[in-house]
Amino acid sequence: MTQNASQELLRIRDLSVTFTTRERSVRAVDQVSFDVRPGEVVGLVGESGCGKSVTSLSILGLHEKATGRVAGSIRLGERELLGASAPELRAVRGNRVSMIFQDPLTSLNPYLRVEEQLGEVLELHLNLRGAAARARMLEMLSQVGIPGEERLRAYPHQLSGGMRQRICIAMALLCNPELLIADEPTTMLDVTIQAQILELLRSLQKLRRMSILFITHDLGVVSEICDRVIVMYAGRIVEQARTADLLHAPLHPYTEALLRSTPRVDVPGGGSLHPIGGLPPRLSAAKLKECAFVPRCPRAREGCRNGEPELVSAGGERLRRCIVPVSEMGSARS
Amino acid sequence: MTKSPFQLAMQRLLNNRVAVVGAVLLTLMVLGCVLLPIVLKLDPSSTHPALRNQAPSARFLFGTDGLGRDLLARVLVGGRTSLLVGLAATAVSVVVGVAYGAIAGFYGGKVDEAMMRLVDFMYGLPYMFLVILIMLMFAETARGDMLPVFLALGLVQWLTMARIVRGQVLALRRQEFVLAAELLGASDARILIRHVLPNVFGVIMVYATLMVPSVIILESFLSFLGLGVALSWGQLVSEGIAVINPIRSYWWILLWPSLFLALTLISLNFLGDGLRDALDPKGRT
Repeated sequence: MTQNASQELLRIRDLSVTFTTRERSVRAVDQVSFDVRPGEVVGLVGESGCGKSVTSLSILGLHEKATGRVAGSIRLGERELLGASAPELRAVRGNRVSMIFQDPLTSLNPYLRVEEQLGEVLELHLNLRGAAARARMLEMLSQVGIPGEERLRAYPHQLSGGMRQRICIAMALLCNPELLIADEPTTMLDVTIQAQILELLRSLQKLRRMSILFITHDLGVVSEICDRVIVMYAGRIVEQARTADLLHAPLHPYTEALLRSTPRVDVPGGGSLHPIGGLPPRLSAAKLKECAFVPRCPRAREGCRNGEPELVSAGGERLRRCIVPVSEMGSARS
Repeated sequence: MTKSPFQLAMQRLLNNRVAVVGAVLLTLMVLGCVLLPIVLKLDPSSTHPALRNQAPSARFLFGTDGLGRDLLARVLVGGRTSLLVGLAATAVSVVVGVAYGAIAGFYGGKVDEAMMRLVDFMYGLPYMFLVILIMLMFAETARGDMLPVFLALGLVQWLTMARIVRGQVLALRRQEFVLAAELLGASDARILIRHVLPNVFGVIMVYATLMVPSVIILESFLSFLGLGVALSWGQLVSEGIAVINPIRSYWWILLWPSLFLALTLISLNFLGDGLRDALDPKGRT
C-alpha cells in the first residue's frame, strides 16, 4: 500500500449502480470516483434523482438489493466494502461509518424509548449495557445539546423535529465513527433549526476530527459546512472543486445554473432567481450519445452533441465534465 | 409520565363506549362459560326422562331439551368449546401467518414472489372442503380430541393474516428507522423482531380480534353439519332447529345457543372495530 493511498479514508472508484426491472434498466450512478480524507467534509450536490442518495446508500450496502447491482470499488481505509460479507458489513455499520437521514420523523422507531434506540448501538458494537451504557448516552446527549435524563425516557412522538434529529445524530456518533454520511439532514427542518443542526454538526466534526459526506441540494448549506464539493447530474460527477472556488467561479453550466437558482443574501435586493428549465433526463443503462445536460444547458453548442464529455482536470483539485472553454464561463453571468 | 404509543392507543380504546361494552360483554361471557358450570355444579349430560322439553322455569332457567338435559348447562359448556376453538385456531393462524408474511415482506424480491404465489394457490382451494377433509382424516384417530379442529381452522385462516402482515412489513421495510437500524449494524432477525413487528402489532391484533368470530362461525357450521367433535354452540343450534316444527315449537332450545353465539360475535366485532380505530396511526392525538 502506497503512502498516497492510505491517506484517504473513503476511496470510491468507478462506482456504478444499476437497477433492473422487467421493463428497463436504469443506471442511477455511473462511473463515480471520489475520495474523502480524514477530517474532511465533502458535499455531494445535485437535484432530486441525480444519484446522490443511491451513492451514499451503496457505500454501506444498503441500496435496494432485489433489483440493484453495484460495480466498482468502495474502500474504507484498507478495507474493500463492496462484496464484503454481511457480518463484515454489520461490523462497519454504525461503528466506523454512520448515517443520518433526511426525515427525523421516520428515522426513529415510534415504539422505542430514546434510551432503547441509543442502547441498541452500544450493545451491538461495544457490548455496553446498564449503567455504563446510560452514562455514555447521557454524555452523548449533552454533546448534541439535549441535557437531562428525562429525555432518555421519552418516545419519539414527544420530541420536536429538531430534537429528533439531534437524537439521530447522537445515535450515529455513539461509537465514534470515522465517517458520517448525512443524507440531507436539514431539509425537513425549518430554517432556524437548520442553522442550529449545521452548527452542531460542524462543531462535533471539529471536535472529533471525523469526516462527513454531506448530501444536499442546497448550495447555501454547502457553503456553511463543506470543504469540498462534488456536483452530480444524471448519475455522473460533473464538477468537483473546493467550496470557495466552486461558489465563486463554477466551471460547469449545471453548477452555474444551480447557483443562479439559489437565493442570495449578499446581493442588494436579493437578485433575481433563475430556475433551471426542464427536467433531468430519464436514465437508462445505455451509453450516452451527448452530454447529459445538453437539453437544459444555456451554453450548449455543436460539440456538446458529439458524445459525452470526459471528466477532466481544470487545475489543481478541480474536475469538470464540459467542453465549454473555462475562459467563457462566468461571462454570461447577469 | 411518558406513555408509549401502545398505552396511548389503549387509552383511546377505553374512551370508545361501544368497544368497552364489547369488551365487558366478552369478559362476562368467558367468565360465565368457564366458572358458572363449576360454581352451580351444572351437568350438561345428565338426563331427566320425566322433564323432557320443559320451558324455562325456576328449576331450569333455560329449560330442558328433548332428553331432559339442562339447557343452561349445555349452553355454558358448549360456549367453552366455541370460545376455545375460536382462540386456539386464531392463535395457530396468527403464529403461522405472521411468521410467513413477515419473512416474505422483509426479504422481498424472489423470496416474496415465491412465498406469496403459494398463498395465492392456497386461496384458490375451496377451504371448506379442505377443512372437512382434514376433520375426516382425524375423525377416526382422534375422537373427542379438539386439536384437529384448531389445526384445520387455523390452517385455512392464516392466509389472510400472511397477506396483511406481508403488505405492512413491505411498507415498513423501506422506512428510515428500519434502514437506520440496519446501518447501525443490527442483524435481520433483530430488525424484524425489535423494529418491524412491534409496528405491525396493532394491525395483527385488530385482525386477530376480527378473526376469532369468523373461526367461531366456521366451527359452528362444522358442528351444525355434524362434523364437530365436542358439544358447542353450533351443535346446540343444530339441535334446536331440529325440534322446530309447526305443531309444537320448543323455541328455547334454539333461542339460547343462538343468542349466546350472536352476542359473542357482536362483542368481538365491536372490540375489533374499536381496536382498529384506537391503533390507527392517523387517529393519533
